[in-house]
Amino acid sequence: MPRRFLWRVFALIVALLPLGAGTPVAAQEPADRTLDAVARDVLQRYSAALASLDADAVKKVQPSIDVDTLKQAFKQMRSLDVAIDNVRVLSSGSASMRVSCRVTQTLTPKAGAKQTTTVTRVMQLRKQEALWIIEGFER
Amino acid sequence: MDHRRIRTLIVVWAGAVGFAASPAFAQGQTSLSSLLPDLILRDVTLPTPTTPGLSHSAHFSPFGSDDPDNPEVAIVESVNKLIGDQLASFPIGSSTGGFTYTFDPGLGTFRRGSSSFGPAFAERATTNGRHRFSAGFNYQHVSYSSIEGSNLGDGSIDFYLHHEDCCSAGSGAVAPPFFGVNQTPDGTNLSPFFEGDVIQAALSMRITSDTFALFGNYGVTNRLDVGIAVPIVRVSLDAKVLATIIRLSTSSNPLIHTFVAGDPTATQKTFARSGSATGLGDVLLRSKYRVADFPGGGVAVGLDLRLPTGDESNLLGGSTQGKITLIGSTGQSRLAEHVNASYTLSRKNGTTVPGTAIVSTGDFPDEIGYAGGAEFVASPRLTVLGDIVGRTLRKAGRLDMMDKTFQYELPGPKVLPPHMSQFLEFQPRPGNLNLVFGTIGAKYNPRGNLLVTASLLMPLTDGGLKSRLSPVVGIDFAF
Repeated sequence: MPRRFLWRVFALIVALLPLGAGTPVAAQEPADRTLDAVARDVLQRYSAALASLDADAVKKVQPSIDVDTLKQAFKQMRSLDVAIDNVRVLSSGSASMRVSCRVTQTLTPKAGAKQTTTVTRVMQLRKQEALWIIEGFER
Repeated sequence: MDHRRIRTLIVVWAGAVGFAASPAFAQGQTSLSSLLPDLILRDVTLPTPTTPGLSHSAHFSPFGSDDPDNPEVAIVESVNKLIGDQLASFPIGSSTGGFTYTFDPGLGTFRRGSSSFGPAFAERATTNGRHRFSAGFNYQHVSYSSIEGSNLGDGSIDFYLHHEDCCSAGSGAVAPPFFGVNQTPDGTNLSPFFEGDVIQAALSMRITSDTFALFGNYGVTNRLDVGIAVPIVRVSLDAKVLATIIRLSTSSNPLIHTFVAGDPTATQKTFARSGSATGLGDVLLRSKYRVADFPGGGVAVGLDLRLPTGDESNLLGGSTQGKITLIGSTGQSRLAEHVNASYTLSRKNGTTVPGTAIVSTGDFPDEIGYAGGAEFVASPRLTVLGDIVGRTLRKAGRLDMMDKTFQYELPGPKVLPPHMSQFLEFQPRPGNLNLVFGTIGAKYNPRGNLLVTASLLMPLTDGGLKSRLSPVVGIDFAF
């Protein structure tokens, strides 16, 4: 009987272990969600800027962009639809993070046929004062 | 790429290449490269006498009298070579791929290779982009107006066929038509006297060519394009000579040389030959590698190989050439510029008039080429363009109009020095042939990735075979 009791106690402990281990994970979730939300917010601003064909707006999100070249590129466009999904935070620090995402762009040019491209990009985000920006693309 | 478009493209290409691969077919009496020599050097004959006697029938015909050393042979040969060289190597429009948008990772979005649709007869440094394909065709009609500054159509190009040295003064029958001569040459056209006559052959000629060139370009990498151009060519020659007997030495015996036996007034006769040939021209294999970029432009190197798939004897091609081109272009603003410099190395080959050693098409010359021009982006859908295209055909040979002196004797006692007459005639000389063309045109994008090209090619120099204003139209599609 005591042996059977001991087994039950052991089984209970084993069953409760995940809960115990899960407690700290649950405590980290809000932080991950925050980073993820930050990344999504930056990419949302970036895609909106691209879609508006406004090079200066893109520069606000990605200060390192070659604005003149981008303006030339936008001049050839009638419209640009941009969708960004599969956003994943690959790593993060206090004021930076690496983010992977899938970017789908559909170009309707002023001359030529509509065309779509989908690329997976890895970019570096950096917190600049209170605002997160795109520092650059790794690929 | 849309499957229907691919199928349509394959069908069009297969049809065109199948047609082009069939042997050239010619209409007319002889091959086109022999037409002019045959007309001037063989056809101009007098009638064969109906009664026994000395026949002067072929005495003015170097081919008929088997006289390849006749100086007229070299003159006609040079004219024919100049025509053949230029017909077989007339420039066809470039296939610059129109326009392409590529994803620029640095920019994060699409970027057009150039703001313009590119030049018409030159190359620019932009490439199609990796795995991008473009295809289309050009059609051009060329008719020729003059050669070395002399009008081809008005009979102002004269050839002077002197009488063969057929005979010597001797002890034959004295009465016409024998005039007491032996039918053995004596090394001079002064004796017997009738060898001093000359036939003036005034040439009028209509030369046209129509070229339908199919081309395709594929981007192997972002920097390397390979392409092919398959020209289907039709060449048409329509030539006639008005032959006039110039009786320098027989004016007192007009029945010796006449175009109608027994009619002393028959001093003129027209001889004509015409023909056309259609078939595959020389296929071009093209490649272009972009070696350097700068905003809106770059520098590229082009390497073309021209295969001798055209029928040389019918002036459709037949030249094996390798061409290297250095290309520079810009294209960021509404005004794009381009410059090309090239050198073409030709393998030596040539054909002869059947049954003779007369060269009908000569060795194709090496060539130095250059081009420069600009494109103006009038609107995103319309580019207006202009080019200067230059070609130097090295050692192609030139023709100068010069006085040519003929000596003759009159019947009766000899006089010293002999009588002389001078006539203006082409004289061949060695030299390079410089040709410069100007082009103006436009490229318009009516829908999708379709590009319609129309341009005019105009000669700016009088040297060689000069073309009239030549229209070029084309369609280009980027997939």
